[in-house]
Amino acid sequence: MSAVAAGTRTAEKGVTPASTVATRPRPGGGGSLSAKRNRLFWPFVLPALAFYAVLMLAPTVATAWISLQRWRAQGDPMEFVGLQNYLTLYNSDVFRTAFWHTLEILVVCGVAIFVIAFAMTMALREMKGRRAARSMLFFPYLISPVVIAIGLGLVLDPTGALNHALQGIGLTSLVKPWLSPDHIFMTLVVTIIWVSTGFYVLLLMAGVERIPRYYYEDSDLAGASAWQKFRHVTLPLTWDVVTVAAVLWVINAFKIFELIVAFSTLGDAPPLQSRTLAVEQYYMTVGGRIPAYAMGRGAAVGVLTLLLVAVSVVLMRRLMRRERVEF
Amino acid sequence: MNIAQRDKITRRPASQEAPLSRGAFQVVGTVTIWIWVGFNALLLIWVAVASLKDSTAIFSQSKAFSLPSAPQWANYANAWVDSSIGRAFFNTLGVVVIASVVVVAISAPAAYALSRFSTRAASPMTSLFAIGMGIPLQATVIPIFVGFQGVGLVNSLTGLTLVYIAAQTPFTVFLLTGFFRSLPFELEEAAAIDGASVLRSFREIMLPLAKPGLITALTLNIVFLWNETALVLYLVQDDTKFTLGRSLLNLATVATYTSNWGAMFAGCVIVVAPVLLTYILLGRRITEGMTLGAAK
Repeated sequence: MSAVAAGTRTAEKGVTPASTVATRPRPGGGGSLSAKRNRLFWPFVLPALAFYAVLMLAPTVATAWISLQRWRAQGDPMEFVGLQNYLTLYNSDVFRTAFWHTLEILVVCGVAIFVIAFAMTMALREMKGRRAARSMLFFPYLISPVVIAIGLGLVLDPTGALNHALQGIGLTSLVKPWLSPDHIFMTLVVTIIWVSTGFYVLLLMAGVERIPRYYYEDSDLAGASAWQKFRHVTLPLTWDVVTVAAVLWVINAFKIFELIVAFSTLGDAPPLQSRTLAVEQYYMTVGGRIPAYAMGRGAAVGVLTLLLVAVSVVLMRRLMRRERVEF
Repeated sequence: MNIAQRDKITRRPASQEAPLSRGAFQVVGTVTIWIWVGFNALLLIWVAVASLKDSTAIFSQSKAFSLPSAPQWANYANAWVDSSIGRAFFNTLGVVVIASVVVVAISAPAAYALSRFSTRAASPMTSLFAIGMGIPLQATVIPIFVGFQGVGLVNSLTGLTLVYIAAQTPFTVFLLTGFFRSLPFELEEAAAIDGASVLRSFREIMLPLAKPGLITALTLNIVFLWNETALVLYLVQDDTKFTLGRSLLNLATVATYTSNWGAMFAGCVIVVAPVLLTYILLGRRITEGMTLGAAK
């Protein structure tokens, strides 16, 4: 596909016929440069493919198989139980809570991140020192989630800065144990938004910076408000970037795991209030002080997670499909 | 845009109202952004300051906001030696550097073939690699854990390195495919006409041209893997094999009993410092690499 596009590209530039022949696909064209190269296709791809197939694709298939078994890992004989593991999960309150938490994070954090990131991108566009600001907004995204959780402890500890500040300005009623089971999910949602937004600002800004300035100058002359400029210039012209960013968010949202584990520190499993599918799977299998090794059920969680990612990505792409605006 | 809106836009003279509303949004936006930036900077500094404080002063009501009376460098010695952050540092360094170099070394030829060769397999293979970016570790980790138990790769840095290589391959192939696609075709063709073999023109012409892309891929992989903790939680239980994230979690867990907060924050600084340094030196590569796929 790419070679075809590339072939026509060189042809348009008017290079010698020999070179266009070289890059154009020629089915069965023995002896040409293209065929000589093509013989090296598999040797070039194979090392990467081998790692990917053995440690990503094959395990994914194996997970689907294990999810149909009752199995407590190495040494324990597998027992085929059909969809029993899925039924057990469906009937488990703990699992259902984790399932809804995962979707809540996906939707609530997702909407918040994109609204804030767009607003920030619009504001950054006309701001002095925007590169420095962008770098600092993005930095938390590059930090280990374990450090994020520990660092926020300074702020959110019962005697930490936030409660200190709330007391200081007389809002004593708002003083809360932010990391306690009753508040942890809220804290988690805000933390995820805080950590992730910078990355999406980065993505959206890369899209916005490609928009020619005169579109905005024209809108200014027409007296458009900030909202109108966003709605009629920025959004349509960055739509393809927004779509990719949305897909990336879906993929990333299901990966959130270490942050939650780190918030409750290790050993003790995180409270039910902060569990997601990823956390649930870990404590169902190898996590915790005395691991449960419920591999079959854990695998079922893995399969469901993969399905959720696939469905969300497809749904997202379908919902966001628009005619591409050329500019 | 409906008619009422359009009328509003065209009828309003440029000098009235509009700048005001834009101004309001801009002011609120700018202030919010700087508060946000300030919070990030402050938290970073605060963790660094806490790492030099006496453990009892860190969470005390009266001294929480004060500077340490005398910097407690012992916190670092404590974290590095007694809490094994030092060992974890070198474990991480080894695993991350080897995995990142190998993943770039195997992904570069693959990406080159996928973007430049004209076989019928190129397009479906490109999609197959792209799918890998969406496979969450939850869908692969259980068979890997069990399989590794069988061959002695659980609790092994070699095992961890192998999984890291596989996990980072789809993204790296995707990133480098974009890079190779953007390189000019003419040089390669000239080399072929001069009789250079495919392998030689890849090694001596394409790889040097793709060097910025390779460095970006290497940097991004190093930063991602430096922070990776999830797979370690599944695959490594032996604390002599811990990498930084896992070791720091341990340190934090122990600190809840010993109240050794100083060492815990020193550990945080040790984990973040190399990333911060990389970001200062290679920030543009990191940000450009991360936006490359989205905004092409």
